[in-house]
Amino acid sequence: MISLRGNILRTTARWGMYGAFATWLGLSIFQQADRPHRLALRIDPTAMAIPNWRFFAPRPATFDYSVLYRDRLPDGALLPWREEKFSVDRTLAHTMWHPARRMEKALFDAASELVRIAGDLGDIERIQLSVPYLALLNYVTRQVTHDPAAVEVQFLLAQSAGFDDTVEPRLVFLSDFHALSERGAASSDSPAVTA
Amino acid sequence: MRVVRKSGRRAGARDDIDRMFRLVERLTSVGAATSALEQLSVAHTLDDRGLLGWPVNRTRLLGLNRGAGKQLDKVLGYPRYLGVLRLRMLAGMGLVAPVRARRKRAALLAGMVGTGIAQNLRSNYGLDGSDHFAFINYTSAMVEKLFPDDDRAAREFVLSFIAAQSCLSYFTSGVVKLGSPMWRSGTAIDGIFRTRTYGDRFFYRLFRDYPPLAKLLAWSVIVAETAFPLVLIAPKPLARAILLAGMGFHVGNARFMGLNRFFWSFVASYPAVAYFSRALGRTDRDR
Repeated sequence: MISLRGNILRTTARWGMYGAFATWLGLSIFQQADRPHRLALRIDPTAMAIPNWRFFAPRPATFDYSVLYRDRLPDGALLPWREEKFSVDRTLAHTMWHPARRMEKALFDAASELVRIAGDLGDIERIQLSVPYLALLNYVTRQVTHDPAAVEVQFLLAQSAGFDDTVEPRLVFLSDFHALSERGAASSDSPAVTA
Repeated sequence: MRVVRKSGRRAGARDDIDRMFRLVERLTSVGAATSALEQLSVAHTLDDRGLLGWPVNRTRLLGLNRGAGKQLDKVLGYPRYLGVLRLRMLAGMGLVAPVRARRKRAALLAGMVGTGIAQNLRSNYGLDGSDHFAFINYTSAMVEKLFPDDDRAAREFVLSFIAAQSCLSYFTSGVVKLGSPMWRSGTAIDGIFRTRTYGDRFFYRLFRDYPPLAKLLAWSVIVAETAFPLVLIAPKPLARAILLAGMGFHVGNARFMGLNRFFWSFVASYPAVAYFSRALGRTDRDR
């Protein structure tokens, strides 16, 4: 009797596993057509287990993104733009050990997402509630060095062609001004978005 | 890579299926443990003030902020999340070490799956295909351990899932490139290589000055990726060449495109692919 019950459980577990993995593979195949199945979006909204394997295709990224920021002083004066470097020149050692790589990729992801959302959103005010905007603002507000007297900060995203110096860097997003902690005033201007 | 399945194989923990899973687990874990250590070495990038800060990144999904999601602070908040990374590093090192016992490996794999989920929930910025494939490898290897040693059919099915995902990934990437004018003309290559994020100064100049080379490389990638599933039916020399080309491809990507983590996750799937290759894996098809 125990053995019969064990066999039933074992067979059920095996067929359950077959079904789960077959479904997983089926949803993965759907994902490759760039049309995620509703079930995939529901059970894996971040595409962790059901990824899109279209690496660098059909249109690969051919630009880098840079984050620049500037401070505004209490009298309204603006300090020069400063760039926050995320990338490092690659070396042979990076093949095995590359701690800066995730942040390089994170900036690329956040910047790409922000530019895409800016292009999609009709109401540009709403972009200030988006995750990439808040993440970049969080960074330029709290993790970079500011002038001690600064009360507000503004950031921009620029697109450049990396090693191709025949292409001028291009402004693709300009943020609103935002208060630097309790020192600053409330934000005042509307965001200007160029992409 | 040669994978031989003997006719008189024994069932149990140290059979051919288990050997393949051990390879999958160890290779994946070299990359995952290194990656966890890399993140710990720049732990400040994960604090609340940065691009990857949890308070901001948790707003991307409603589920992360209501119900059980509210409890995620206890794991994903800074600096508690560093404990997740330490656990991932240690579990990964455990899987790289010559641990043979399946129960121990199952526990370590559960650690990798759990920390992989945590990593993905915390932020999707900075993640890439290598993290996704690592998750597939770990989840599959963990599920395989749930089945008795003598249930070869179930364990083999799980291994086939890794092989299928591997073939699907290369095939998809190749076919979508084939449909792209940028790839067919080769302009995708110098476009990618001119970036600092994914490129290389020397190769950018080379491809800019010699466009036929860019086109040749583009078509080589298209053909190699699309043809990857042929490893399953190709004769031995060709099947070996496909896997060796795949490894070379990932070494090149690691050195010149900064895709170092991809090598471990993707090459880790090759033992599973080889197992189901007619020439490399099955020597006894009379079962």
